[in-house]
Amino acid sequence: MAENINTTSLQCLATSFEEEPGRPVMISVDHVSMVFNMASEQLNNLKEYAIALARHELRFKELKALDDVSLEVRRGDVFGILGTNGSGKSTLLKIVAGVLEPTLGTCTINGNIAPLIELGAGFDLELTARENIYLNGALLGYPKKFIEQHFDDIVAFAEVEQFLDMPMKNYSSGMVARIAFAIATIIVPEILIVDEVLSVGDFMFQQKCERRIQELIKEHEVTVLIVSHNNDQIERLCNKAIWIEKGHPRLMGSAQDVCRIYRVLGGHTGKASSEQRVFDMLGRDVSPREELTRTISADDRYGSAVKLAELCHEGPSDTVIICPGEDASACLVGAGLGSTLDAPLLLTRSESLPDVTAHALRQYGASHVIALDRGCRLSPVVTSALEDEAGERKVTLLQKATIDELALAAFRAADQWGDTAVITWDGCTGDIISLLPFSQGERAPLFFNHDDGIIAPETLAALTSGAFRRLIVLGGTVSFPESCLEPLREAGLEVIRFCGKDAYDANGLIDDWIVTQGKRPRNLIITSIWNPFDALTAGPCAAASDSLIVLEDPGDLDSVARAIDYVEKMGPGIEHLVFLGDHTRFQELDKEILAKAASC
Amino acid sequence: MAFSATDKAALNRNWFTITSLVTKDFKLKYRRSVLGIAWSVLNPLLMMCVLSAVFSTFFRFQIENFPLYLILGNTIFSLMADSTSSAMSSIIDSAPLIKKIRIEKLIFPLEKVLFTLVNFVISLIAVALVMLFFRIVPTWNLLLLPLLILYVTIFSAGIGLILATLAVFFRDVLHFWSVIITAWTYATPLFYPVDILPDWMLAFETFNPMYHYVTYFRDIALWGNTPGVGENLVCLGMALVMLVLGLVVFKKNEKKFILYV
Repeated sequence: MAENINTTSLQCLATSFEEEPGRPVMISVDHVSMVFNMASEQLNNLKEYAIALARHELRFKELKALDDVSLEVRRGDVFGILGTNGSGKSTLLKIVAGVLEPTLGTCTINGNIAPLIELGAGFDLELTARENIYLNGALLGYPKKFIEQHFDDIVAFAEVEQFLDMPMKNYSSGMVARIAFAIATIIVPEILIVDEVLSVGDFMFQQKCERRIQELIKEHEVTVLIVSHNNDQIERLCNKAIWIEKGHPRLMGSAQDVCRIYRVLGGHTGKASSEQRVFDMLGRDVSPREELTRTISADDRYGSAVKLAELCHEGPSDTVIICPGEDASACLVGAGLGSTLDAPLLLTRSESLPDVTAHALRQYGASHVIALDRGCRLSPVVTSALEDEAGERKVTLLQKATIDELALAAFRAADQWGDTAVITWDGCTGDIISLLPFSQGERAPLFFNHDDGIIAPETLAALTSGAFRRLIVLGGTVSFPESCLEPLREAGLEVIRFCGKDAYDANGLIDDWIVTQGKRPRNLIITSIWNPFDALTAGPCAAASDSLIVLEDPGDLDSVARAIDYVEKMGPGIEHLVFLGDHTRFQELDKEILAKAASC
Repeated sequence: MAFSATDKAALNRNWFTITSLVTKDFKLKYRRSVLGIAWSVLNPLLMMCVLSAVFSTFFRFQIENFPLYLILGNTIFSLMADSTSSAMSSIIDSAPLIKKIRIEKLIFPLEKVLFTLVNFVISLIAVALVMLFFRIVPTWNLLLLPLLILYVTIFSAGIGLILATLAVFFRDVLHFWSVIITAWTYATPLFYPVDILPDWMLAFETFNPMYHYVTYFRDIALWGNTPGVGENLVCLGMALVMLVLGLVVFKKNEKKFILYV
């Protein structure tokens, strides 16, 4: 996965800085490269070294931690460094702090530096806090008089007055961090280097640290170089930023722009062309149509299921289908059953009935609950909760050991099926979700194979009973080799199969096919396959609102690029983009990109 | 070479760092021991008792005031042995600091030498006690002691710097050095009289700096001899050569330390 991370420069963005002759350059990093020799073998003693030298076997693996990085920080700048883990951010900071010597290039510093790199280096936990403050101050190069003058300030900032003469090994880690931060920031340096320190201590102390840094920035015009994983923090504190990926500088510009782009692209994998597509769309000057995007989200999948069910089943409903939320395939079988019974589908936990589901059940006033369960996972607690709710409610428990048997049982539980059937394998969730808008509309039952290449005789019998005209096969040639489909063809079924390279590819194929079946989509439902549980119950809603489902994972740029292409193709005909899932799945920017694509 | 104000400030700062580290080491050394600092005096005394018991019963050397002879040689030799050994691992031990803050790396080995020196000065109390016990009247020659301490300290610092550098790249040195020290202990007349040595060995001793330093110490403290200007120059010369060598080796390699510690 990691090899897909792009490292080329993205400087096409027109955010190069104008010259600012008024402010002196404080830090000038000039074409710096840093190469580490990583000994391919551990040669830690003389004999091995001599032998290896004699044999000319002294090989080193080179690791280029930084590759030709240049940047200039002027007085008063607050410069952020962004990048995923191991991308060379800390190496760069260490070079600026003078701890490391660059292999190539130069780094010029004007002014004194206070490095806040890994606070508390040099604390000896056997010593008391008082002793450590002097020792640490000495190690940081403060004169003795200075420490004496500011001793009280340090203690006050760190809030450790009562514990001054206690050995520091008895301190909590938060207290140690507070003292370290207090010592490091007591001087007003010309350049402050901050490396992830703001992630120590409790919430109150983090705020205090940030205030102190803000104070240094605003009141003393301190130049700051800061590394943080916290994107918001960089955006809040910095005016400029650089994004480094695997040692390569990718993008430099105003903190706002860089953070914005990093949010969408940073650490996400995908082909360079996909990334460029996303990048271009992000930078495109289009304002999205109003009220284009909608979001359906809840605290968890159970809540989402209720919300989705309410969208198309407002009123009371006699029958309600309950599926275990942990079992995607079972839920999709339940969705098929729901389409033909016109019953809402709700989810439950295996071990207990979620409150939100119980509440919805009451709202629907259902007199008949059909619960699907594969492998007897539903605990008696759930079934009894289902029964107890309203006394005379009838609970039908469809309980089977395997998914193909469960699918068959669901098929037999209803008789109003359409003339299309769907067969797939356990785990083909993405494809089934893609097909939901169609299969739900057609009231198509869902069947499963028994194992790779094997369709159970009962399933075969059900399929060839003459009830169906058409069979949609979701799955590749491993799950469904042509040979095992042969008997179905012979029985006169029209077999339609989709073989995509991956779930996203299959999603495109299926969506295109649905359009050829005469359904012009008005809405697009965007969901993530990485966590598809919100989408399991989206079927009825999709079918009712003429929607197609588009799979997209913001972490996979290829899928984002594909989604952009698709949305752009559908273009103005789209009324709404409906995102399933909260901000942890789709951030505002992710939504904005697709909204822009739809508004082009 | 003119000394600018910033150089002086840097020197001041580094000196404060060194003294802070020495204070820390000192506090940690005797923390939680009942006798505390008294051990710095007791240790050489007890060592002297053991050695003089062993050597006067088994070897029967005809040396006047043998215990004093022993403790003089031992304390000055252990000043060298202890300071070089602790300086050797100083860089490796301060890896967390070296990796994180910009700091003059020379500080670490020098601090260890200085710390051993402080302990040595305390152990001189033991020497004084033994002199008192044997009613040796100190002579004006004893005023040369600071000079001797300076020589040995410079000499030890030089070796310490070389060892600290080597130890970063080859950890073998850590193990090997204790063997060298043991060999050196026996090669220097610490427990035995010089006159039992064969001629060739005696010739070799002129190249053994520790022989010079030990003899110097006994001259001024035991025998009441005044070391000549020539002897002083030899002692100082050996120390300075070692220090320059150490500084060159250390300074040439210190930038690579961070990659190996």
